[in-house]
Amino acid sequence: MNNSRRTFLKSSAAAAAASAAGLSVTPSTQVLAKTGKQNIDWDKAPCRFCGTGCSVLVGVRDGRVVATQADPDSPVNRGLNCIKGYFLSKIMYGSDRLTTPLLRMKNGKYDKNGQFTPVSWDTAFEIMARKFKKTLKEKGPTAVGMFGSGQWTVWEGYAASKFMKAGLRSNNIDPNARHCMASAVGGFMRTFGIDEPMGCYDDFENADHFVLWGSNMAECHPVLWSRIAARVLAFDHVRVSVLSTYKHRSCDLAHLPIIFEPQTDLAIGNFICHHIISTNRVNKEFIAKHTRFRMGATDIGYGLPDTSPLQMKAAHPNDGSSKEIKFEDFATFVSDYTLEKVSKLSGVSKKSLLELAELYADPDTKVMSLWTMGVNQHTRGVWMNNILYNMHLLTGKISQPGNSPFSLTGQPSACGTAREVGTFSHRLPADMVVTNPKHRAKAEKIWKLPSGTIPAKPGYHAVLQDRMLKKGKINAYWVMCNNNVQTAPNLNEETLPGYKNPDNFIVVSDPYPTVSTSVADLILPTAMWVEKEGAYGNAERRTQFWYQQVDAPAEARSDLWQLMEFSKYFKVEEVWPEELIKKKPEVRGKTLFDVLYRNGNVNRFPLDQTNPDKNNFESKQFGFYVQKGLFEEYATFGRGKAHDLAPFDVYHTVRGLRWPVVNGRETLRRFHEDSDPYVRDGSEFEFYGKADGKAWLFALPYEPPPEVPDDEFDLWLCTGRVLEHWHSGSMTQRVPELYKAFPDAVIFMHPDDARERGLRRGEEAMVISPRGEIRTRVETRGRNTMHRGFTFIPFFDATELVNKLILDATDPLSKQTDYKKCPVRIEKVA
Amino acid sequence: MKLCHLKRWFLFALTAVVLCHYLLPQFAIAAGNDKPVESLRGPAPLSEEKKAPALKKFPKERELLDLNYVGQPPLIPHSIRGYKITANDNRCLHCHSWDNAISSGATRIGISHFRDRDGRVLADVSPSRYFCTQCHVPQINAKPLVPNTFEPVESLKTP
Amino acid sequence: MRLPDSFTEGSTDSTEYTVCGLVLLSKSEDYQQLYARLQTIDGLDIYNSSDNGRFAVTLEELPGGCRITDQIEVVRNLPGVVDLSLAYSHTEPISDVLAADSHS
Repeated sequence: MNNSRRTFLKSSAAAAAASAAGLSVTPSTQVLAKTGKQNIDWDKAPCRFCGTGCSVLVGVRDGRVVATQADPDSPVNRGLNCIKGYFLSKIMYGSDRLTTPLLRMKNGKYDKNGQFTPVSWDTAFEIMARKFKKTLKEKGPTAVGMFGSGQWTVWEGYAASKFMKAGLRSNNIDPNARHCMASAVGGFMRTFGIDEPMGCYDDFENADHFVLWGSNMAECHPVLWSRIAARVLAFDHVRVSVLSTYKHRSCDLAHLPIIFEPQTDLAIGNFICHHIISTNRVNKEFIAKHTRFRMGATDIGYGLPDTSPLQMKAAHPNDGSSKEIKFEDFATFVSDYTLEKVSKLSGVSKKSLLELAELYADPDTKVMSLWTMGVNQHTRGVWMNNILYNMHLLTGKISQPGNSPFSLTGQPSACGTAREVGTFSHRLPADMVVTNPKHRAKAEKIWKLPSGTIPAKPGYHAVLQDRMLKKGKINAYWVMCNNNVQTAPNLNEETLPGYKNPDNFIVVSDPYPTVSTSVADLILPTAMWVEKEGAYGNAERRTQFWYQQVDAPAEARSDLWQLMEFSKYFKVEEVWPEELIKKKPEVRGKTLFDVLYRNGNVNRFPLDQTNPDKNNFESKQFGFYVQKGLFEEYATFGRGKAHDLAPFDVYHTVRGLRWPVVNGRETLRRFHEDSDPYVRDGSEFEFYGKADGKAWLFALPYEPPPEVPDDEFDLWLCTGRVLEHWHSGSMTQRVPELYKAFPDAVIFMHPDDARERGLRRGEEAMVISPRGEIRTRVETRGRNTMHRGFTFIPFFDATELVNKLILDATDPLSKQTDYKKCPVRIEKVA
Repeated sequence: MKLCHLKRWFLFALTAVVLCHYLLPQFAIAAGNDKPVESLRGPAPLSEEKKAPALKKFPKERELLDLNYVGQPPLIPHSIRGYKITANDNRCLHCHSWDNAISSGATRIGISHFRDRDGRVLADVSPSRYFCTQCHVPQINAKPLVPNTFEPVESLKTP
Repeated sequence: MRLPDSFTEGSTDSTEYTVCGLVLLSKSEDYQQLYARLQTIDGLDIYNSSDNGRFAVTLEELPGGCRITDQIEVVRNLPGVVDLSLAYSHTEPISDVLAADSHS
């Protein structure tokens, strides 16, 4: 803006400053001209890390990221990041970035025992296609598999889902979100019939009381924790309660810190329901109009192999069914969870339990419940999600500002990609499932496929994929955007044998070498974050877009490019049976690329619609605006079905929008007529995921964990994250400042437990479970305060693979592993 | 081998070597038969358990660390062992608050820390900025696991 | 000099234009480095300086741009800045600034 008034004001300011500084008021002739080179180009992007979904401004100069800022315009974080977010500018620049496909070879040929040799993309895809086709021919679609990610962009997940389910006709695609959010999804589907939180982050500025159930927000959702801290420290009446199995940083703000015996959160939740009922604080009108009651099947096992003794003892293994009951039956059921009983079982004082229960019972206290992995990575995780909703439904404390049962998401796009796109072994987009013929038909229609393309039987989920690899029942496997060899449970017995099985061909796509790439047969170098145009969906249903801002190094390519390019190597006749091709004969002679991505939808938008100021590698390669085409086809599934997404172009101009976006307006709170366009006028609440609009409360008991400490393995081990590192550390351990802030994994334990085992702080310990052992160092102080009998090891350290110790027991309904309670023995290393 | 063949072969080999040098990617990758592509675990096989590295110490005091970009939260140049931040007390502010910084000689917290979510300037530290260790961390004295090729803008590089 | 009220109530949604004149002091050995660093600050122009470490700069805040209080803080914390003083400040609605030209 060149303007005389501005110039005048500026000159006045300059003259005043010069005069005060004792400098000449006439400007010096030595002023350096501002050249273009001094300018940094700034553009927005969501943070690469957790499910909070902060926005950052990325500063690029000369094709490299030189800085970031916490985005002041994002309603999520308003100019604040956490330490990991503040070092985003370094995550792409670890010097050992993978830059070329690498195939294990010996004597110029593929050999599973060979050394990694650089090959071209064409060679890589050729052998990959050969292996996949051979497997399909010999064993069919159930023998190929893909393990994807809640860190894929929305269109990467969508392209992958199409490729597997429609292209290769296999439901063996599952995301690493199975390890983090599957129980939450199970909870939503059972209680509400539809996935994802009904509240939003605005609830942070409205609640009177925050209750953290097994989540450590101070370290794992720090910017959301800041919003809680802001409210708690500014208003006297606002408090925080933290329920945890050990004392961590979030407890530092807690008015009511509660340490409970592992798994007894189930009983505590039931006690709270009992308290609400027995003290007559049930919102009777709400219950009568908007809910039903169910008795859930019990004794459902632990997701272990059918031959394991624990699994054989289960009366109703994997049974998620329930039968209708009355409110009175529910009241009777929870009355069993008396204060006395639950206090004894959980180790929590009666006083604390009552105080906690009162928060939920008091109709005037607006309560926001928050949970992530403590509840989800739990062998009764789905039940615990249901019980948390019970507490809010009994009192009608839901879908209103501040009254909010909020399931926090771990990964940046477990919601936006894995759950909403449905990249699970049993799902399709928009909460549809493969087992429902109507859902399959709808997907086939949108995807322009002959009827019967999508298989009806759910595929193998995460833990089962590892078991099937081990058995040799999956033989061609593609791992994308995760480090499952480090993060899957029971590494020695379950994960590793499958990857090393000579019958199996394992492909791993990653930007960096990881322990997963170290046991792969083919490594594909992958582009990261702002090296591609992307979209993520965070925990509060906010979909956020970003443009490509720098180029990927050398031959690294995005997951999206890899999927779409790979599909060109398959002719339809090679993967579809004749009966299917006959139904749509025009596909004869075409490739999967033609059928899946050049289908008139995905290739609908020409290149001139891409941003002229930005690169878009994938679109240039394929000749059309691939991200827009994939997104718009995907959005068809949800529009009008309570999953409405705004038009593609809008998202690039705003700081995200919370779906359903109807008539240009985002939805803050679902299921209430004041804020949700899908709720019918006059009904006040409508839980429209259920046919009659009523949410379900479930009567579910406490059931113990599969393993508890005994004489041989006498301590509890919990695993999780620390603030400075993300997941398996493949990105954050390569940022020097993050590495130097928390360099190595340690075992946090009580000094007396250490002393009894001949150990002092800093000494080396062997941590042993029935499944394996690791060596680590003892830590008796710092951010976590462990009580007797309880230990914690973070899982970011590739040299201390704590998941060797963890049992591959899962919630039988969600198939999600329990990483939070594993009995171990600790010995001093001689 | 005749001399002219030898020369030709030599030239060919030389060209090949030169070409390889320019065509192979810059970053550390396998050359086909020697160094494996190592993760941060290093060469230790997955089934093995190597000796755990000793606990690394955070130096009591160290020099101020350079910023990588304008606006980066400064790293803490001293140990914060035993420092607690609770609702009742913030150990960091004992030295770094605007009042105390004069006598302690510590860096004053930035003015950005006085603004709330909605941009209003407050009279005291904003509660959203209260938990210092969400953004500020100390550093051990050690080489990075892997070199990082991030480059700050010229004006921030130490001469 | 006391910051005017508009600063304490400002936000990035502001429709105002603000300009400040600032005096910076640095050690003479840091002069070159600081000169270069100042070039990278959004909204800042170096009006004059001397190599014994004195700078007279202007900082502007436009609607939708960085908040001036932020930028002042960023400048104050730059390595090499010994002291910073506000010598002048002025705020007025952006509409007035834009309207001025139409009167001439």
